[in-house]
Amino acid sequence: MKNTKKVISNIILILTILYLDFSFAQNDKQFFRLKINKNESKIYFSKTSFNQIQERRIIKKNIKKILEFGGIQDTILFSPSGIKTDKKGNIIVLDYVGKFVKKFTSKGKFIKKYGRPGKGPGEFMNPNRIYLDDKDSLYVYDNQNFTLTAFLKKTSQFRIKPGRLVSEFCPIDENNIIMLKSSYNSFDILEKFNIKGELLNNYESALDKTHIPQEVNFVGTMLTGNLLKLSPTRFVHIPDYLNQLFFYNNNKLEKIMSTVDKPTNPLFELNYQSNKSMLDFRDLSEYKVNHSSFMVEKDIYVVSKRAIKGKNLIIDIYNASNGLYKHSLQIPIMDSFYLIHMTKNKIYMITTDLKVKVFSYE
Amino acid sequence: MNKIWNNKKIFAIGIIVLIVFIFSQYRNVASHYLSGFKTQEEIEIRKMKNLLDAIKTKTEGKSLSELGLITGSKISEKLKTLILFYIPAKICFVCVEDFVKTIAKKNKKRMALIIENLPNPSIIGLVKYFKLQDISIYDKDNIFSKKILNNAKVKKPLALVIKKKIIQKSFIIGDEVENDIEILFNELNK
Repeated sequence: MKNTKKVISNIILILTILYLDFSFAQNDKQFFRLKINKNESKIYFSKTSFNQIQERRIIKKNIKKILEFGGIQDTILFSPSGIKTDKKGNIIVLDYVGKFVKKFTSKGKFIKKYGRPGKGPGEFMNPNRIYLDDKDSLYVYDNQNFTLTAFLKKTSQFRIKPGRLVSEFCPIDENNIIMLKSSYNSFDILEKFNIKGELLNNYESALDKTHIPQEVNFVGTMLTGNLLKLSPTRFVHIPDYLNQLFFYNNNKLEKIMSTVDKPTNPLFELNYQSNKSMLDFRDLSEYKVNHSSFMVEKDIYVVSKRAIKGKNLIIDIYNASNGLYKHSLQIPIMDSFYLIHMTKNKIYMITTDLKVKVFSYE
Repeated sequence: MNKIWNNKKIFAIGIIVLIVFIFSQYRNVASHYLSGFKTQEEIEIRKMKNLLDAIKTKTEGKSLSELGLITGSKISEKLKTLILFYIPAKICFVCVEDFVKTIAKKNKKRMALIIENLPNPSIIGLVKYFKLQDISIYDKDNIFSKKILNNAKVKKPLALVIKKKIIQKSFIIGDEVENDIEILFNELNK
């Protein structure tokens, strides 16, 4: 009898230890656990998702304004919503109110306009993302027409399936495009399409499906951010709201690296609409960890939203090949901006007075 | 005796751990299914209704100068009868585009816009695109929000129908923008 009790108690103990161990092992996997507090309608990261936070190694830089155009009274641009540069230093600006993309020289002289309002080929209703590929070909995503337009030798356009909002995309080679979507209740948020619009691959999601309640719509919003091409087979996904860099290679999740910032907690607040809860995608700026990111030569530059304090911009630099943190740049800024793009020696900003401003930094 | 006690102790601890675990799992599942989403939605609707009631009480039957709004501006000087629209900064692009596109078709001499002074490039861009700069005021110190809304956050445009300098009607523009704007202009023309 004694022995039986002893055996049973030991079995229970072992099972308990095994179960707890298994639970923690699950937490240590690369998935993120999210917790919904129903009473407060907030979404939290579980503490086990927090990785080691590193100290910033700051290198101070100075900037000098070299160009400025546009503005509230000017009508060459109405509401700039994207900015990129090509290899010649030309400035490409997306305007979602004007429904066009305009190209300017490095001195601000207008060169060319792409697109006009409409639903036909090369026309836009609500263009919200642009990308330049290695050959400086322009790609534009329209989230009202649900089309991706590539201005190649011949303009190519394909329609995204209804219900899939694309928050970011990245042409990985001449024929393939990676898309980050923000669909209702979808966890498979990264997809690869060919230029004809055929789905080629679904990427493994970083969200742990088992920990997200069914009521939550637009889960993809949690992973909204930037996609940067690293090689024809490799890219990195940098979500705005997480302190992680997700590296993908050969159609698979390769690794996840931590950034130097802490994640926001709570992650989001739920907004109740039509008997469903959804992430309030209209006003999420307070939850942002990363402002934006770009490839500069072989490094990944991440503008930290958290570290923008007062008049200093902090840009964290990571090695593109291994994802390790290198150092940070501290750059003084005098202007309030909402969009930023960087190259090796220049910063391009769209300021809140709707001007395009270019600075050199050293 | 000691051994038996130890076994009992281990057994009890095991049972407690299991009970705690099962209870925590039950709470997760229960909270998942017994959530109060309907109640929350009702609260949101009630909040909006209360806000509109508060705005009506505060504004209707009063003049703009009594409320300390846009006094001395080019708009209040010139116009005695107009619809004053308020556009909050935190409004979705499609909503504000639809709204601005609709009012741009109306007689610009019969309306004015107060725009919440938070940087929202899409609102500024739409005002430029539909050439509404002359009838728009950027509320630098957020006076409208402070005096009329008590700093409450709104995500829909508001309208004040003003006749002979007196506010006749306060209104929150809903999802049927064209219909709502039509109602307001009919009210103005009565």
